[in-house]
Amino acid sequence: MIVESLDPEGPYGAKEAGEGPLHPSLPALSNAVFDAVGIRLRELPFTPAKVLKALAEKNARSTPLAGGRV
Amino acid sequence: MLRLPKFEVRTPESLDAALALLAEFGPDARVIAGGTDLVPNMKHELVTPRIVVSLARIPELRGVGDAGAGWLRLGAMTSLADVAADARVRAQAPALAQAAGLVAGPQLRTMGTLGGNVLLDTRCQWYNQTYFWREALGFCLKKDGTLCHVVEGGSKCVAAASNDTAPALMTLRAELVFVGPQGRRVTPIDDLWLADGAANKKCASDELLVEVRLPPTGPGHRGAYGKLRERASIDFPLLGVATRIELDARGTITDADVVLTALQARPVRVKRAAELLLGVRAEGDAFLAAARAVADQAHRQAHPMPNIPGDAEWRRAMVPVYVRRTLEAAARGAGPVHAV
Ligand SMILES: Cc1cc2nc3c(=O)[nH]c(=O)nc-3n(C[C@H](O)[C@H](O)[C@H](O)COP(=O)(O)OP(=O)(O)OC[C@H]3O[C@@H](n4cnc5c(N)ncnc54)[C@H](O)[C@@H]3O)c2cc1C
Ligand code: SF4
Repeated sequence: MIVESLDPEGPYGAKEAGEGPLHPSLPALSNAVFDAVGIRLRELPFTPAKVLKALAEKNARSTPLAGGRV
Repeated sequence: MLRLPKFEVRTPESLDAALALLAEFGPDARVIAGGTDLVPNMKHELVTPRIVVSLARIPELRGVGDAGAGWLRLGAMTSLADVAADARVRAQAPALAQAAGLVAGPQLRTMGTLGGNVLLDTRCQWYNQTYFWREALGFCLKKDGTLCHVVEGGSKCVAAASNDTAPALMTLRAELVFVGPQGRRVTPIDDLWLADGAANKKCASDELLVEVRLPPTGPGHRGAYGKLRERASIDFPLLGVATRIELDARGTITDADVVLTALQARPVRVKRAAELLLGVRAEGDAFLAAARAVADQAHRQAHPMPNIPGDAEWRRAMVPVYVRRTLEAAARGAGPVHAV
C-alpha cells in the first residue's frame, strides 16, 4: 500500500507505518501482566517460564519462607 | 533453504524384500516410514543414507486390528492421526490415543507413524542443527565429536527422548514386534531403552518394527496424557506425563503407573506411584493427597537437561503440576492435559 505523504524527518520524505503501532501495544501487554500478578517483565517474549521466575523472585522478597504448592 | 543430499528410494512390497534390502546395503540403508523425523535429519546431515527403504507399500504394516485374547495390534505404519481417532484405541488405551493426538500438528500426525514415533531419534539443541552450524561450534559426542556441549566433561550424551507415545505405551505395558535376519522377536517396550542419548534404543539397523501390541484392559482402566509445550501447533514435548490407574468395581485403585518423558535420554518411570495410590478411592481429598504424593516423588526424580527448548527450571517446576493434573484427568476419565 502506498499513501502519498511527506515526512520531513524521514529519508526522502518517507514515513514509517509499522513501528508506531507497536510502541503502545507491548507496554500494554506488560502492564496487563503487572496488573494481573504484580510482576514487571521487560523482555519479550513473556513466556510462562519468565512469569514463574519473576513470581518466585517476588514471593521470595515478600515472604522469605513461602514455598510452592503442588 | 536446506537441500536434501542425494539418495535413492526403494519401495519393497513385502517384509522379506525390505529385510533383504537392509541386509544388502547395511549401514548405507535407512528405513523411512512417514519421514517426518528422518527427512529433517537428512537435511541436517545427521544421517546420510545412500538408500532409503520405504515401508509405504507393505500392507501388513498398516492398521489397527484384533490380536487375539483381547490384545490389540497396531501396525507400525499406522498414522498417528489414525491411532488418535481409532475407537478401540480410545477405549482400551486412552493415554495412547491422547498422546498420539498431541504429537506436533495435524499434517505431521497424518504423515507420521506410530512406529516412527516409537523409534524417534533423541533431540538436543546442539544436535538438531545443520552441518554448517555443528561444524562451526565443534561436533559433539552424539555425532562426529568427542565432547558434550550440555554437560561439561560429560562422557555420555544426554539428548532427550522426545516421543510422546513412548511413555503412554510404557504405562500400558505394550509389546513391540520386530523382525530381523534372525526372525521375529517380541519385546516389552520397557526393555527397549538405553540411558544413552547417542543411541537410546536396543534396535539393530537391519531390524524392522512390525507392530505394537496392547494387552487387554478392563472397564476399570483409566489413562491420560499430559504435555508441556509453548506452542500447540508444532512443539515437541518439553515434558510428557503418561498415567494409568486401574479401579475395582467400587472405584478403589488396584494398580497405577506414571511415566515421564523429555527429561533425559530415556522415558522414566515415577518410583512408588502404584504403592502411593493403592487402596485409595479415585476421588475426593484422599485421592488428591495421594496424587500430590506421587507428584512430589516425580519432582524429586526429575532433573531436566537444559538441551531442549523451554527453561529447564520451569520444566522441572511443571513436573509435579502435570503429574497431579494428569492423574486427576485419568481418575475422571478425562484428558489430555495441556495449557496450550
Ligand atoms: C515440526 C515437528 C514437530 C514434531 N513434534 C513432535 C511431537 O510433538 N512429538 C513427537 O513425538 N514427535 C514429534 N515430531 C517428530 C515426528 O514427526 C514424529 O515422532 C513421528 O511419529 C515420526 O514418525 P515417522 O513415521 O515420520 O518416522 P520417520 O521419520 O519415517 O522415521 C523415524 C525413525 O524411525 C525409523 N523407523 C521408522 N519406522 C520404522 C520401522 N517400522 N522399523 C524400523 N525403523 C523404523 C526410521 O529409520 C527413522 O530413524 C515432530 C516433527 C517435526 C518436524
Ligand atoms: S547432549 Fe551433548 S552429546 Fe548429546 S547431542 Fe547434546 S551436545 Fe551432543
